[in-house]
Amino acid sequence: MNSGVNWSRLYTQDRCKSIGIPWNEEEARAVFALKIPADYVRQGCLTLEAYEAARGKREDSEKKTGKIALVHLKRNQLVALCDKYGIRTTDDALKPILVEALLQAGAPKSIAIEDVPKAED
Amino acid sequence: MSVRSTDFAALTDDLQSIVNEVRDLKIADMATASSLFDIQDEVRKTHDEVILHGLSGVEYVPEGSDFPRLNTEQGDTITWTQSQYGAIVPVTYLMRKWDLYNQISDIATSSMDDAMDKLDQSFADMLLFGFSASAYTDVWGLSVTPTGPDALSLFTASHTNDTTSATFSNLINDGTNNNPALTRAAIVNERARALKYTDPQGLTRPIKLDSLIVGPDNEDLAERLLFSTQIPGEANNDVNALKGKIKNLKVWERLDLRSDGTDTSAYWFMADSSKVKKTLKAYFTDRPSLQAPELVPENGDWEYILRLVYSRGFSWAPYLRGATGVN
Repeated sequence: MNSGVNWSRLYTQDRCKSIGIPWNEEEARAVFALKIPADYVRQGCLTLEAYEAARGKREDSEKKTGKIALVHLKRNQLVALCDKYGIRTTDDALKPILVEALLQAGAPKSIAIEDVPKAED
Repeated sequence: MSVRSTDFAALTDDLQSIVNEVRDLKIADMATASSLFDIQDEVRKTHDEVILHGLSGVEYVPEGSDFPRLNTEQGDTITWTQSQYGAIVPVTYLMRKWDLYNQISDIATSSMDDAMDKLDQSFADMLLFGFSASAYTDVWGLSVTPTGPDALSLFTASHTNDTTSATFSNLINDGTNNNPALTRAAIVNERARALKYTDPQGLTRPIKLDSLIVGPDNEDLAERLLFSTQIPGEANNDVNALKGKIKNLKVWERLDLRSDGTDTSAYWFMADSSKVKKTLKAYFTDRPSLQAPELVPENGDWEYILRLVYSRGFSWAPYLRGATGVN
Protein backbone atom coordinates (compact mmCIF):
# COMPACT_ATOMS: atom_id res chain seq x y z
CA MET A 1 0.00 0.00 0.00
CA ASN A 2 2.87 2.38 -0.74
CA SER A 3 0.90 5.27 -2.04
CA GLY A 4 1.71 8.27 -4.14
CA VAL A 5 -0.45 11.03 -2.77
CA ASN A 6 -0.19 14.39 -4.56
CA TRP A 7 1.22 16.14 -1.50
CA SER A 8 2.31 19.39 -3.15
CA ARG A 9 -1.17 19.96 -4.57
CA LEU A 10 -2.75 19.15 -1.20
CA TYR A 11 -0.33 21.54 0.52
CA THR A 12 -1.10 24.45 -1.79
CA GLN A 13 -4.80 23.81 -1.12
CA ASP A 14 -4.14 23.79 2.67
CA ARG A 15 -5.33 20.20 2.87
CA CYS A 16 -2.29 18.86 4.70
CA LYS A 17 0.07 20.21 7.33
CA SER A 18 3.21 19.73 5.29
CA ILE A 19 4.57 17.49 2.56
CA GLY A 20 4.14 13.99 3.94
CA ILE A 21 2.36 15.16 7.09
CA PRO A 22 -1.45 14.98 7.12
CA TRP A 23 -3.63 17.07 9.43
CA ASN A 24 -4.51 15.23 12.62
CA GLU A 25 -8.15 15.24 13.80
CA GLU A 26 -7.78 18.42 15.90
CA GLU A 27 -5.94 20.32 13.17
CA ALA A 28 -8.43 19.20 10.51
CA ARG A 29 -11.26 20.43 12.73
CA ALA A 30 -9.53 23.80 13.14
CA VAL A 31 -9.00 24.21 9.39
CA PHE A 32 -12.25 22.82 8.01
CA ALA A 33 -14.82 23.37 10.78
CA LEU A 34 -13.49 26.48 12.54
CA LYS A 35 -12.10 27.94 9.27
CA ILE A 36 -8.87 29.07 10.91
CA PRO A 37 -6.29 29.94 8.21
CA ALA A 38 -4.03 26.96 7.63
CA ASP A 39 -0.82 28.90 8.25
CA TYR A 40 -1.97 29.65 11.79
CA VAL A 41 -2.98 26.03 12.37
CA ARG A 42 0.47 24.98 11.16
CA GLN A 43 1.87 27.20 13.92
CA GLY A 44 -0.29 25.44 16.53
CA CYS A 45 -3.48 27.55 16.74
CA LEU A 46 -6.25 24.99 17.18
CA THR A 47 -8.99 27.20 18.65
CA LEU A 48 -10.52 30.51 17.59
CA GLU A 49 -9.18 32.10 20.78
CA ALA A 50 -5.63 30.96 20.04
CA TYR A 51 -5.99 32.18 16.45
CA GLU A 52 -7.27 35.63 17.49
CA ALA A 53 -4.47 35.96 20.01
CA ALA A 54 -1.79 34.96 17.48
CA ARG A 55 -3.21 37.28 14.84
CA GLY A 56 -3.36 40.20 17.31
CA LYS A 57 0.20 39.53 18.40
CA ARG A 58 1.37 39.49 14.79
CA GLU A 59 -0.44 42.74 13.94
CA ASP A 60 0.97 44.42 17.06
CA SER A 61 4.45 43.27 16.20
CA GLU A 62 4.18 44.43 12.58
CA LYS A 63 2.89 47.85 13.72
CA LYS A 64 5.61 48.19 16.35
CA THR A 65 8.58 47.08 14.26
CA GLY A 66 7.35 47.98 10.77
CA LYS A 67 8.55 44.56 9.66
CA ILE A 68 6.82 41.41 8.45
CA ALA A 69 8.15 37.88 8.87
CA LEU A 70 9.02 35.96 5.70
CA VAL A 71 6.68 33.13 6.73
CA HIS A 72 3.73 35.56 6.52
CA LEU A 73 4.43 36.62 2.93
CA LYS A 74 2.42 35.24 0.02
CA ARG A 75 4.07 32.72 -2.27
CA ASN A 76 4.44 35.13 -5.18
CA GLN A 77 5.98 37.72 -2.88
CA LEU A 78 8.53 35.12 -1.79
CA VAL A 79 9.23 34.23 -5.43
CA ALA A 80 9.85 37.94 -6.17
CA LEU A 81 12.21 38.13 -3.19
CA CYS A 82 14.01 35.01 -4.40
CA ASP A 83 14.56 36.74 -7.75
CA LYS A 84 16.10 39.63 -5.84
CA TYR A 85 18.52 37.26 -4.09
CA GLY A 86 19.36 35.46 -7.34
CA ILE A 87 17.58 32.25 -6.39
CA ARG A 88 16.02 30.40 -9.32
CA THR A 89 12.60 28.90 -8.53
CA THR A 90 10.01 26.72 -10.23
CA ASP A 91 6.26 26.38 -9.70
CA ASP A 92 6.95 23.25 -7.64
CA ALA A 93 8.74 25.16 -4.85
CA LEU A 94 6.38 25.50 -1.89
CA LYS A 95 6.34 28.40 0.57
CA PRO A 96 8.43 26.76 3.33
CA ILE A 97 11.07 25.81 0.74
CA LEU A 98 11.23 29.38 -0.56
CA VAL A 99 11.58 30.77 2.98
CA GLU A 100 14.37 28.31 3.71
CA ALA A 101 16.16 29.19 0.47
CA LEU A 102 15.93 32.92 1.29
CA LEU A 103 17.31 32.41 4.80
CA GLN A 104 20.17 30.31 3.42
CA ALA A 105 20.90 33.09 0.93
CA GLY A 106 21.26 35.53 3.81
CA ALA A 107 17.83 37.18 3.87
CA PRO A 108 16.65 38.39 7.30
CA LYS A 109 13.78 36.55 9.02
CA SER A 110 11.65 39.70 8.77
CA ILE A 111 11.70 42.47 6.20
CA ALA A 112 10.48 46.07 6.29
CA ILE A 113 6.87 46.32 5.13
CA GLU A 114 7.80 48.88 2.45
CA ASP A 115 10.30 46.36 1.00
CA VAL A 116 7.65 43.68 0.46
CA PRO A 117 7.41 43.03 -3.29
CA LYS A 118 4.04 43.89 -4.80
CA ALA A 119 2.98 40.47 -5.99
CA GLU A 120 -0.37 38.77 -5.56
CA ASP A 121 -1.10 35.02 -5.39
CA MET B 1 9.66 -45.69 -4.92
CA SER B 2 11.62 -42.47 -5.22
CA VAL B 3 10.45 -39.43 -7.17
CA ARG B 4 12.70 -39.29 -10.25
CA SER B 5 13.62 -36.46 -12.58
CA THR B 6 11.21 -37.87 -15.10
CA ASP B 7 8.41 -37.39 -12.57
CA PHE B 8 8.97 -33.60 -12.47
CA ALA B 9 6.01 -32.72 -14.70
CA ALA B 10 3.64 -35.06 -12.87
CA LEU B 11 4.72 -33.79 -9.43
CA THR B 12 4.40 -30.18 -10.58
CA ASP B 13 0.86 -30.78 -11.84
CA ASP B 14 0.02 -32.56 -8.62
CA LEU B 15 1.43 -29.86 -6.33
CA GLN B 16 -0.16 -27.04 -8.28
CA SER B 17 -3.50 -28.78 -8.14
CA ILE B 18 -3.26 -29.32 -4.36
CA VAL B 19 -2.06 -25.77 -3.74
CA ASN B 20 -4.78 -24.29 -5.95
CA GLU B 21 -7.34 -26.25 -4.00
CA VAL B 22 -6.01 -24.78 -0.75
CA ARG B 23 -6.07 -21.32 -2.31
CA ASP B 24 -9.66 -21.72 -3.48
CA LEU B 25 -10.77 -22.91 -0.05
CA LYS B 26 -9.06 -19.89 1.53
CA ILE B 27 -10.68 -17.56 -1.01
CA ALA B 28 -14.03 -18.97 0.08
CA ASP B 29 -13.05 -18.11 3.66
CA MET B 30 -12.16 -14.59 2.51
CA ALA B 31 -15.77 -13.88 1.57
CA THR B 32 -15.90 -10.66 3.60
CA ALA B 33 -12.78 -9.17 2.02
CA SER B 34 -14.00 -10.22 -1.43
CA SER B 35 -17.34 -8.51 -0.86
CA LEU B 36 -15.74 -5.24 0.30
CA PHE B 37 -12.74 -4.90 -2.03
CA ASP B 38 -12.81 -4.32 -5.75
CA ILE B 39 -10.21 -6.94 -6.73
CA GLN B 40 -8.90 -6.56 -10.26
CA ASP B 41 -5.98 -7.58 -12.43
CA GLU B 42 -3.41 -4.94 -13.31
CA VAL B 43 -0.59 -5.39 -15.80
CA ARG B 44 1.33 -2.24 -14.83
CA LYS B 45 3.50 -1.78 -11.74
CA THR B 46 1.46 1.19 -10.58
CA HIS B 47 -2.21 1.99 -10.64
CA ASP B 48 -3.25 5.63 -10.97
CA GLU B 49 -6.55 6.25 -9.26
CA VAL B 50 -8.43 9.40 -10.25
CA ILE B 51 -11.55 10.47 -8.41
CA LEU B 52 -14.19 12.08 -10.57
CA HIS B 53 -16.76 14.25 -8.86
CA GLY B 54 -20.11 15.55 -9.85
CA LEU B 55 -21.01 14.49 -13.34
CA SER B 56 -23.09 17.65 -13.38
CA GLY B 57 -24.68 18.59 -16.66
CA VAL B 58 -27.82 16.50 -17.01
CA GLU B 59 -30.31 19.27 -17.59
CA TYR B 60 -33.66 20.13 -19.10
CA VAL B 61 -33.30 20.02 -22.89
CA PRO B 62 -35.92 22.03 -24.82
CA GLU B 63 -37.13 20.51 -28.08
CA GLY B 64 -34.73 21.22 -30.91
CA SER B 65 -31.89 22.16 -28.58
CA ASP B 66 -28.49 20.55 -28.39
CA PHE B 67 -27.80 18.31 -25.47
CA PRO B 68 -25.31 19.76 -22.99
CA ARG B 69 -22.00 17.99 -22.59
CA LEU B 70 -21.57 16.15 -19.32
CA ASN B 71 -19.17 17.97 -17.06
CA THR B 72 -16.96 15.99 -14.71
CA GLU B 73 -14.68 17.54 -12.16
CA GLN B 74 -11.37 15.80 -11.62
CA GLY B 75 -10.79 15.30 -7.94
CA ASP B 76 -7.79 13.97 -6.08
CA THR B 77 -5.39 11.42 -7.47
CA ILE B 78 -3.34 8.70 -5.88
CA THR B 79 -0.90 6.11 -7.19
CA TRP B 80 -0.64 2.63 -5.73
CA THR B 81 2.52 0.65 -6.38
CA GLN B 82 2.44 -3.13 -6.41
CA SER B 83 4.82 -5.17 -4.29
CA GLN B 84 5.93 -8.76 -4.67
CA TYR B 85 5.57 -11.36 -1.91
CA GLY B 86 6.66 -14.94 -2.06
CA ALA B 87 8.81 -17.80 -0.88
CA ILE B 88 10.78 -20.71 -2.27
CA VAL B 89 8.98 -23.96 -1.63
CA PRO B 90 11.76 -26.56 -1.74
CA VAL B 91 11.31 -30.14 -2.77
CA THR B 92 14.70 -31.40 -1.66
CA TYR B 93 16.71 -34.15 -3.21
CA LEU B 94 16.22 -36.36 -0.17
CA MET B 95 12.48 -35.74 -0.03
CA ARG B 96 12.35 -37.07 -3.56
CA LYS B 97 14.81 -39.90 -2.96
CA TRP B 98 12.89 -41.19 0.04
CA ASP B 99 9.50 -40.45 -1.51
CA LEU B 100 8.37 -38.20 1.37
CA TYR B 101 5.27 -37.18 -0.53
CA ASN B 102 3.38 -36.12 2.62
CA GLN B 103 6.13 -33.69 3.53
CA ILE B 104 6.29 -32.38 -0.02
CA SER B 105 2.57 -31.68 -0.22
CA ASP B 106 2.45 -30.38 3.35
CA ILE B 107 5.17 -27.82 2.74
CA ALA B 108 3.43 -26.62 -0.43
CA THR B 109 -0.07 -26.35 1.07
CA SER B 110 1.23 -24.67 4.26
CA SER B 111 2.97 -22.01 2.23
CA MET B 112 -0.23 -21.19 0.36
CA ASP B 113 -2.14 -21.22 3.65
CA ASP B 114 0.34 -18.71 5.06
CA ALA B 115 0.14 -16.47 1.99
CA MET B 116 -3.64 -16.38 1.96
CA ASP B 117 -3.88 -15.72 5.71
CA LYS B 118 -1.48 -12.81 5.37
CA LEU B 119 -3.31 -11.50 2.32
CA ASP B 120 -6.63 -11.52 4.17
CA GLN B 121 -5.03 -9.89 7.23
CA SER B 122 -3.52 -7.18 5.02
CA PHE B 123 -7.04 -6.34 3.84
CA ALA B 124 -8.47 -6.38 7.38
CA ASP B 125 -5.61 -4.19 8.61
CA MET B 126 -6.63 -1.51 6.14
CA LEU B 127 -9.82 -1.10 8.15
CA LEU B 128 -8.26 -1.67 11.56
CA PHE B 129 -5.40 0.81 11.00
CA GLY B 130 -7.82 3.18 9.28
CA PHE B 131 -8.32 5.54 12.21
CA SER B 132 -4.90 7.18 12.12
CA ALA B 133 -2.68 8.42 9.31
CA SER B 134 0.46 7.27 11.12
CA ALA B 135 2.54 4.68 9.30
CA TYR B 136 2.31 1.09 10.51
CA THR B 137 4.15 -2.14 9.80
CA ASP B 138 1.88 -4.49 7.92
CA VAL B 139 1.59 -8.24 8.17
CA TRP B 140 4.30 -8.62 5.50
CA GLY B 141 6.72 -6.48 7.54
CA LEU B 142 6.52 -3.45 5.26
CA SER B 143 5.90 0.09 6.41
CA VAL B 144 2.52 1.34 5.20
CA THR B 145 1.29 4.93 5.14
CA PRO B 146 -2.47 4.54 5.50
CA THR B 147 -3.60 7.72 3.77
CA GLY B 148 -6.04 8.15 0.92
CA PRO B 149 -6.10 10.62 -1.94
CA ASP B 150 -6.91 13.50 0.46
CA ALA B 151 -3.92 12.59 2.66
CA LEU B 152 -6.22 11.61 5.51
CA SER B 153 -6.83 8.26 7.15
CA LEU B 154 -9.60 5.97 5.88
CA PHE B 155 -11.94 6.98 8.71
CA THR B 156 -11.86 10.66 9.60
CA ALA B 157 -14.24 13.43 10.60
CA SER B 158 -13.24 15.84 7.82
CA HIS B 159 -12.60 14.13 4.48
CA THR B 160 -11.85 16.79 1.87
CA ASN B 161 -12.08 16.95 -1.91
CA ASP B 162 -10.29 18.78 -4.69
CA THR B 163 -13.23 20.74 -6.08
CA THR B 164 -15.11 22.43 -3.23
CA SER B 165 -14.61 23.19 0.45
CA ALA B 166 -17.26 20.63 1.46
CA THR B 167 -16.15 17.93 3.90
CA PHE B 168 -17.73 14.71 5.13
CA SER B 169 -17.18 12.38 8.05
CA ASN B 170 -17.19 8.61 7.78
CA LEU B 171 -16.63 8.05 11.47
CA ILE B 172 -19.74 6.36 12.86
CA ASN B 173 -21.63 8.74 15.15
CA ASP B 174 -24.41 7.85 17.58
CA GLY B 175 -25.87 11.36 17.64
CA THR B 176 -23.45 12.55 20.31
CA ASN B 177 -20.04 10.94 19.86
CA ASN B 178 -17.85 9.63 17.10
CA ASN B 179 -16.53 6.08 17.51
CA PRO B 180 -19.42 4.76 19.67
CA ALA B 181 -19.67 1.18 20.82
CA LEU B 182 -21.95 -1.07 18.75
CA THR B 183 -25.48 -0.07 19.76
CA ARG B 184 -28.84 0.17 18.10
CA ALA B 185 -28.82 3.97 18.46
CA ALA B 186 -25.48 4.24 16.69
CA ILE B 187 -26.64 2.06 13.77
CA VAL B 188 -29.90 4.02 13.43
CA ASN B 189 -28.14 7.39 13.56
CA GLU B 190 -25.38 6.48 11.13
CA ARG B 191 -27.84 4.92 8.69
CA ALA B 192 -29.86 8.15 8.67
CA ARG B 193 -26.75 10.29 8.34
CA ALA B 194 -25.61 8.29 5.31
CA LEU B 195 -29.02 8.60 3.66
CA LYS B 196 -28.62 12.39 3.87
CA TYR B 197 -25.08 12.40 2.45
CA THR B 198 -24.40 15.26 0.03
CA ASP B 199 -21.68 15.16 -2.63
CA PRO B 200 -19.05 17.94 -3.05
CA GLN B 201 -21.53 19.91 -5.19
CA GLY B 202 -24.11 19.78 -2.40
CA LEU B 203 -26.49 17.37 -4.15
CA THR B 204 -28.05 14.72 -1.91
CA ARG B 205 -26.74 11.32 -2.96
CA PRO B 206 -28.15 8.78 -0.50
CA ILE B 207 -25.81 6.07 0.72
CA LYS B 208 -27.73 3.01 1.86
CA LEU B 209 -25.70 1.36 4.61
CA ASP B 210 -27.04 -2.17 4.32
CA SER B 211 -24.07 -4.11 5.71
CA LEU B 212 -22.75 -4.38 9.24
CA ILE B 213 -19.21 -5.74 9.61
CA VAL B 214 -18.01 -6.94 13.01
CA GLY B 215 -15.45 -9.23 14.59
CA PRO B 216 -16.39 -12.47 16.38
CA ASP B 217 -16.79 -10.81 19.81
CA ASN B 218 -19.59 -8.57 18.51
CA GLU B 219 -21.35 -11.27 16.48
CA ASP B 220 -23.96 -12.21 19.06
CA LEU B 221 -24.84 -8.59 19.87
CA ALA B 222 -24.98 -7.70 16.18
CA GLU B 223 -27.35 -10.57 15.38
CA ARG B 224 -29.68 -9.55 18.18
CA LEU B 225 -29.61 -5.90 17.14
CA LEU B 226 -30.36 -6.66 13.51
CA PHE B 227 -32.56 -9.71 13.49
CA SER B 228 -34.68 -9.68 16.70
CA THR B 229 -38.35 -9.11 15.98
CA GLN B 230 -38.58 -6.67 18.90
CA ILE B 231 -36.07 -4.17 20.21
CA PRO B 232 -33.48 -6.20 22.09
CA GLY B 233 -32.77 -5.43 25.74
CA GLU B 234 -35.80 -3.20 26.29
CA ALA B 235 -38.95 -3.83 28.28
CA ASN B 236 -41.39 -2.42 25.76
CA ASN B 237 -42.72 -4.36 22.82
CA ASP B 238 -41.81 -2.00 19.99
CA VAL B 239 -40.95 -3.71 16.75
CA ASN B 240 -37.29 -3.75 15.75
CA ALA B 241 -37.42 -1.39 12.79
CA LEU B 242 -33.84 -2.26 11.86
CA LYS B 243 -34.90 -5.79 10.95
CA GLY B 244 -34.68 -6.14 7.20
CA LYS B 245 -32.90 -2.82 6.67
CA ILE B 246 -29.37 -3.96 7.41
CA LYS B 247 -29.47 -7.04 5.23
CA ASN B 248 -25.90 -8.26 5.53
CA LEU B 249 -24.15 -9.13 8.75
CA LYS B 250 -20.55 -9.95 7.96
CA VAL B 251 -18.47 -11.49 10.70
CA TRP B 252 -14.81 -11.08 9.74
CA GLU B 253 -12.69 -13.28 11.97
CA ARG B 254 -9.65 -11.02 11.58
CA LEU B 255 -11.27 -7.88 12.96
CA ASP B 256 -10.71 -8.76 16.61
CA LEU B 257 -6.92 -8.60 16.43
CA ARG B 258 -4.78 -6.22 14.43
CA SER B 259 -1.50 -7.51 12.99
CA ASP B 260 0.46 -5.53 15.62
CA GLY B 261 -1.32 -7.49 18.36
CA THR B 262 -3.73 -4.71 19.41
CA ASP B 263 -7.14 -5.92 20.59
CA THR B 264 -9.61 -4.41 18.14
CA SER B 265 -12.62 -6.48 19.09
CA ALA B 266 -14.75 -3.36 19.73
CA TYR B 267 -14.19 -2.01 16.20
CA TRP B 268 -17.19 -2.20 13.86
CA PHE B 269 -18.05 -0.97 10.40
CA MET B 270 -20.99 -0.26 8.11
CA ALA B 271 -21.02 -0.27 4.31
CA ASP B 272 -23.20 0.27 1.29
CA SER B 273 -22.76 -3.10 -0.45
CA SER B 274 -23.48 -1.64 -3.87
CA LYS B 275 -20.82 1.07 -3.63
CA VAL B 276 -18.18 0.02 -1.12
CA LYS B 277 -15.99 -1.36 -3.91
CA LYS B 278 -15.56 2.21 -5.11
CA THR B 279 -13.75 2.81 -1.83
CA LEU B 280 -11.62 -0.29 -1.24
CA LYS B 281 -9.43 -1.53 -4.08
CA ALA B 282 -6.82 -4.21 -4.73
CA TYR B 283 -4.87 -4.81 -7.91
CA PHE B 284 -3.01 -8.01 -8.76
CA THR B 285 -0.34 -8.63 -11.35
CA ASP B 286 0.10 -12.16 -9.99
CA ARG B 287 -2.61 -13.78 -7.92
CA PRO B 288 -1.22 -16.31 -5.42
CA SER B 289 0.12 -19.35 -7.24
CA LEU B 290 2.87 -21.96 -7.15
CA GLN B 291 5.26 -21.61 -10.05
CA ALA B 292 7.48 -24.45 -11.23
CA PRO B 293 11.28 -24.00 -11.24
CA GLU B 294 12.89 -23.34 -14.58
CA LEU B 295 16.32 -24.56 -13.51
CA VAL B 296 17.41 -27.32 -11.15
CA PRO B 297 20.17 -26.18 -8.72
CA GLU B 298 23.36 -28.22 -8.40
CA ASN B 299 22.18 -29.74 -5.12
CA GLY B 300 19.31 -31.44 -6.95
CA ASP B 301 16.52 -29.65 -5.04
CA TRP B 302 13.48 -28.54 -6.98
CA GLU B 303 12.70 -24.99 -5.91
CA TYR B 304 9.10 -24.05 -6.58
CA ILE B 305 8.15 -20.41 -6.07
CA LEU B 306 5.02 -19.24 -4.36
CA ARG B 307 4.41 -15.71 -5.52
CA LEU B 308 1.84 -12.96 -5.40
CA VAL B 309 2.15 -9.39 -6.63
CA TYR B 310 -0.45 -6.86 -5.61
CA SER B 311 -1.28 -3.41 -4.27
CA ARG B 312 -4.16 -2.23 -2.14
CA GLY B 313 -5.55 1.13 -1.18
CA PHE B 314 -8.62 3.22 -0.62
CA SER B 315 -10.21 5.90 -2.71
CA TRP B 316 -13.32 8.12 -2.19
CA ALA B 317 -14.48 6.91 1.19
CA PRO B 318 -18.09 7.82 2.11
CA TYR B 319 -19.38 4.32 1.31
CA LEU B 320 -17.61 2.74 4.28
CA ARG B 321 -18.09 3.89 7.89
CA GLY B 322 -16.12 2.84 10.94
CA ALA B 323 -15.97 3.13 14.71
CA THR B 324 -13.39 2.04 17.24
CA GLY B 325 -16.15 1.52 19.79
CA VAL B 326 -14.34 3.46 22.53
CA ASN B 327 -17.20 5.88 23.28
